[in-house]
Amino acid sequence: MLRFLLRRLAGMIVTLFIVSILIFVITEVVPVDPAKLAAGRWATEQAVEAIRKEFGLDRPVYVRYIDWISGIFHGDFGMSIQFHRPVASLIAERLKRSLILASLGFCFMVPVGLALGCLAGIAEGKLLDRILSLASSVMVSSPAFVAGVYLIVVFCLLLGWLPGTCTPRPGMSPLDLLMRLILPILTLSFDEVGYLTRFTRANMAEVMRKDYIRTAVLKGLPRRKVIFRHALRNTLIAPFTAVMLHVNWLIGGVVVVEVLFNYPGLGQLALKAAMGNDILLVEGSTLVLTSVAVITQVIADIGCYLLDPRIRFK
Amino acid sequence: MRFKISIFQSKAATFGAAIILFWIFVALLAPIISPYPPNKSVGPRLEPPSREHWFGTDSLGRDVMSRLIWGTRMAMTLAPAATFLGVFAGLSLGLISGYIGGTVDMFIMRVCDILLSFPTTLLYILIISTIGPSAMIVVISVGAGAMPSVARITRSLVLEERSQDYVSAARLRGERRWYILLREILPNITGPIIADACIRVGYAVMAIGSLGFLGLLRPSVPEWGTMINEGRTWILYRPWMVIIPAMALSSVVIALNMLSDGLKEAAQRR
Repeated sequence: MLRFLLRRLAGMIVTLFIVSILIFVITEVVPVDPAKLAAGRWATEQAVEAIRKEFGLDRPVYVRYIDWISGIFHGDFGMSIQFHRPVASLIAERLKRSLILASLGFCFMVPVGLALGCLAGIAEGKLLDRILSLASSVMVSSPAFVAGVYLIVVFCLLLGWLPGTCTPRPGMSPLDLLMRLILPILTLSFDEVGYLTRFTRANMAEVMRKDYIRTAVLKGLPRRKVIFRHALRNTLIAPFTAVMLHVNWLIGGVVVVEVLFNYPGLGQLALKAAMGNDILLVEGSTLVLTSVAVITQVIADIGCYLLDPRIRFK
Repeated sequence: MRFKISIFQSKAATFGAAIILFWIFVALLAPIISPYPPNKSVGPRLEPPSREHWFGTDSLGRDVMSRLIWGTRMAMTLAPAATFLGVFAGLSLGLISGYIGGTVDMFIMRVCDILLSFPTTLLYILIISTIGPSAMIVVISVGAGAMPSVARITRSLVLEERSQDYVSAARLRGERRWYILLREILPNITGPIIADACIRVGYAVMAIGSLGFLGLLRPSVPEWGTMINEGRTWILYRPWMVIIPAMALSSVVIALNMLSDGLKEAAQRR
């Protein structure tokens, strides 16, 4: 048990280390001259030189990397060129909002996807299964920016039930904010619910054909007991593990949803930073978002280990 | 040959193939069938659908239908190219990893794990914003995003095949490693790999579309995601500007999924 935990944590640290190098290399080493990029296309030679000096871009790459990473260990991500504020405070403010969006989305998609998948799997071949299978294959084929368009057109334009943006204003009541978050949450979970439904359906249909289910049915257990006691447990483990590994997809969805609904979260910030060539802000925000993905996956891994005895005794 | 015929036994796969063929023709015939040039202002701005402009015009007075037709070319060329690159790289790594095993295997799989834990959308944003949105960079980054999972799938398929009798027979005949890998194992795993690649073309269409949606591609190039991005400000007043490219994109991805399901069944039936 302890060995497993330590191995996972060591793996996580190595991954984060390599991810930080990757981000640094893509933003600062690959482009020919990051100072020129940051200064903009029409900057004079002196302005470029000044930026190079200010950000220490005239020093060798490894010195810059060590400087950057050791700053992060002290909570210092540097200054943002665009916002004239410390990157760390910008990230902290926005990470909270993104985490709210992502976790609400997650709490919605997992139960809904698993439940729909089980329903379809139990009714294999029947009308309900056909309808759910068709719906889920449309859903997996709709990435967040397409799903968002459909949902906005249906719920804002045709039905007029929900607002189409969700910029939180100061002094807004939590209930009001939640109303505004409904569409973003639906958009964020759209393709993942489809994926989960398909996956769970296939699993459930397979489990229902197993011998131990037949035994349970033949020994006269009521159908409901067969499903809840025997089938459900064995069905849910695999899709649950799979969805945990999809956290990095979820983060991609978060970026798109934040842009589409104008929700000021970390994903939107990362995109703005990248478009404005705000190097330190790009590096900081992508590093934090990736760390969230990596850490969640490790926690999920440990959770599965605790839940599923088959992994523990292997 | 039998494999090719058996795809068309499935109605869904035939339907999917038909939709894909339709879009391929649209892409090929774009200069002939598009009623207006895609990048020129040809009418009043934000015009609703009419006889002259079937899908209306956008905020710059460009014809939405012509842009949709030309945008097909982006989806139909870049997505398959990116997938081909990703599958080729992933397949090679997976074959090596699965067949050689040992430290090489461990190293390749660790690298794949690390790449897989990186949210691909962020990777695209990073690469394209620093290097620029040329077609080649888009293809390489989307391909790189697909590579690690292809490598993993290939590896597990190779591990399954490696214990089969025909591989031991080839080994006993004294065949060389590369011969066994490429002439014995590879043909036996192409079925599932092709079915998987088909879904991946759909993923690539979605990935390229989201790059356009995030405003990372050149605005002058007609592309479905870029069109949705340009139209989203007017979504409540001029919804056709976004609904039409969104539906085009969905239809391609759904068709590829259907085709892939059919290919999977055909591969199993064999």
